[in-house]
Amino acid sequence: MRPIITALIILALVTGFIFLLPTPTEEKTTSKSGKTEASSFRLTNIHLFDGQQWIPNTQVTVINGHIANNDSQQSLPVVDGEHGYLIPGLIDAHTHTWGEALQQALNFGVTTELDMFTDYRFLQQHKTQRDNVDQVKQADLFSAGTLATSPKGHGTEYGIPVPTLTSPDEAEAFVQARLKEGSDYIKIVYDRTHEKSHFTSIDKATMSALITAAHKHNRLAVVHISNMNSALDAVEAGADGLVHTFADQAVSDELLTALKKQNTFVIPTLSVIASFANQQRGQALIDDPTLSSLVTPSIKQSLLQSFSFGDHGNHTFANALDNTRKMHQAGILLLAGTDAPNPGTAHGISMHDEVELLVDSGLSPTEALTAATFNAANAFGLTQRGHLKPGARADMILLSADPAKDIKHTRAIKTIWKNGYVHTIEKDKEVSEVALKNNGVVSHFPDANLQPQNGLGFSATSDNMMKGNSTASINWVAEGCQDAGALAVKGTVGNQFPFPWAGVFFMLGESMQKGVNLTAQKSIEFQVKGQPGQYRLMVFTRDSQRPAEVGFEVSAQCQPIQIDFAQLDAVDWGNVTGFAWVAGKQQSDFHFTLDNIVIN
Amino acid sequence: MSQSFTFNQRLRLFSLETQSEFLKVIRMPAFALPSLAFPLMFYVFFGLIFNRGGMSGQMPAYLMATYGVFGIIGPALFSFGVNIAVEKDHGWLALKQASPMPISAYFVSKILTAMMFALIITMALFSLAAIFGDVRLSRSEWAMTLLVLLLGVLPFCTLGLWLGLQLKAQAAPAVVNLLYLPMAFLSGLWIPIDYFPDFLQKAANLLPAFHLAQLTLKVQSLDIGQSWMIHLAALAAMTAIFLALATRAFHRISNN
Repeated sequence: MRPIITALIILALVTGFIFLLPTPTEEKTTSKSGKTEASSFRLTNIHLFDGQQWIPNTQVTVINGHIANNDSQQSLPVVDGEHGYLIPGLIDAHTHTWGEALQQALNFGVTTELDMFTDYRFLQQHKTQRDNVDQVKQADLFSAGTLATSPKGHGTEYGIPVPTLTSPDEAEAFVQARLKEGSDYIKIVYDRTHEKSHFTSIDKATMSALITAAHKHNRLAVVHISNMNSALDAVEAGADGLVHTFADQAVSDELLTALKKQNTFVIPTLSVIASFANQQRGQALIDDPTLSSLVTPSIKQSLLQSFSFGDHGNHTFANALDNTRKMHQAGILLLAGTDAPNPGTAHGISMHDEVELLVDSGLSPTEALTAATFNAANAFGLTQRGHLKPGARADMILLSADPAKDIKHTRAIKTIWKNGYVHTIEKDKEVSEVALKNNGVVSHFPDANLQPQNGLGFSATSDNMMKGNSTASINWVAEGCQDAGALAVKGTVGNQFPFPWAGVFFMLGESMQKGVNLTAQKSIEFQVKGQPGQYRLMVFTRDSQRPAEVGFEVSAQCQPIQIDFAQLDAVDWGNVTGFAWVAGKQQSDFHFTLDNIVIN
Repeated sequence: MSQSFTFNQRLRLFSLETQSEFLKVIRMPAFALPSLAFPLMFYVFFGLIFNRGGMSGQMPAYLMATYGVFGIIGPALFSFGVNIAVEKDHGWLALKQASPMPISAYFVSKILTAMMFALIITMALFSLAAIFGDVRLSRSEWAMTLLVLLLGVLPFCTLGLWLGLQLKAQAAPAVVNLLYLPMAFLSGLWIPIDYFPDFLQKAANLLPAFHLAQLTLKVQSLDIGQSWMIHLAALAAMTAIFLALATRAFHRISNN
């Protein structure tokens, strides 16, 4: 029997060993690397777009920043997706990235930028981030680094010194120098008809040699072109992709056939071509209520800029749309890219316009999403990006409305995850120097002018201002809760805006940019009666994307309500701009009376 | 003759043969040391020191699986390929065949020894990965990885068996190394197969080590995405082919 006993002992030792090995759940308490369980969770109740197709009513499992199989047995925190629409983080396939671009991009759900020319030192600084799944505040960067152009060619006009080349025999050394600088792929500027422009261009043989050299080193070679003849040359020379479409003439069958035959992808960059053609789409983006809270002064400035050489007219832009449509119909791989931050475009925000422009040129919304996710990753060989199948990096966006129905719903962002961590948008925390006066009394509403003792005043508020269909109105009533006089609010809650609301807004600060410091206070108290039900108090702070909110019960009799600030720990109490008392999401018609508001 | 053994006798016989086989290889530093040390050393260099952050931080976990495969193939190929060739040429195999011991004990002891080595190497790799590589797997993933690696010894035992019976003692170490090292590299055991050009990735389908590596990686969903059934079928087919070839070689030797 001894051999059997020996075997059993070995088995027991091995089993014991397996139980000693660390598991991800233990990591919560034992990890020293600063990782927390925040990048491991199960997101339930979602409709999933995995980069290629939709899977309704499903869930995703995220373990240590990567998508895992849903059948993983691990016990994980559950996050309710509230029937939202989960899509992969967007990949902008044509940007020029420096400064704050990567932070800005992530705020709009762009989790990876494929840069097409920047200072290679910027690439070197940001390259390492993309290899790990740490919690980060910015998108990941892949880049061509320095572009390949001729002396005085396009790309040399920006004030950065750019090495250039003029003949095919310089190509191999040029490509080697780029790879040494860290370029992920080679971007080439080529214009067959450069005599007509004020730029020079390398010739076709040099382009060809550059592409050959790039391929020799296993790198993609992509070509900037701005007209059809140049596109033909580039495809003939073996380019892997074109980083623009063109608008000078309709795409020929010859070019379509060549693109298809060589599997050349195209990044139409309709955003920048629209700006080139003076389509003025920037203002519409700024005015979009779902995006406006994220628009900083520098984004606004970039979106409102235009190219200095005037109006190229609708005609050329129609060409660009048509050419994109024909390429799509011919089955050519299209990638969404913006060319941000060129005039009229900005990092992040313009991707939401680019996908809309792709839909305008005949792609279905789902195809446009694929162009903005899976296609880009596929074309550039980024295996963990652009999709949400097991193994993918957990870069993803939860939308509150269905982007397959209306591509504009990519803007209805509820949550952004980067590397499995929820991305919160940080603003400079500036504590206001304004404090409360009059012992924190807001108002007892003694008379009809509704003027408070603190703050600017009361006004009706509803999503009507964001083109929703909720309504609200306020007026003074004589019958108060303890004393005479109160504020009466009534209205209806509609269903057109993704985040409907209706009620009364109290402006505490002198503007939405300048609030009041409430860090010395602990709670807000008020008395309320009205149509029974669950209502919400919202707290607005400077620069916050969306107000924080907390529920309270209303009954037919006056009742004192006290809401402790400690309940709302995510609020920046150093700069509160206002409060709103609004009806719950479940109500339609509502009315309530508010009195004796005090902040203690 | 072998029919006359009782179960207990047979068990003791297999056990003694395995013990002596294990003792023999442990006492051959030229076999034991490289088998144990190389996979661990390579893993420390390429998985823990140089490529830590590679594959989005998954490199330590990925290479733990592939160096595990690399590690378990070594003892299987050498213990069978080289040792059998030597023992065959020295007449030891003929002696074993002539002895009353069932010849299966000779082979089973070698398989068990290869598995013991596989177990030691895998446990050492797991320890390194867990302590220095921050690799965190669920309990079932750890256990499955170990199980796949232990059973993964079998196809390579049959490959080694065929080579050992086929080769001359002097030629065996060279041939086994010539097979072992390029196969390990081309199967993506040292560098993730994703980094290979397309045609090499396709060509890897011909190698048993590639299929075992993909099965092992599948446990952690780090494989290149083919079905586990394909890999299992490929391994089973290759095992059957090697076994058939080995049987033929064995009969040829026995008949001489």
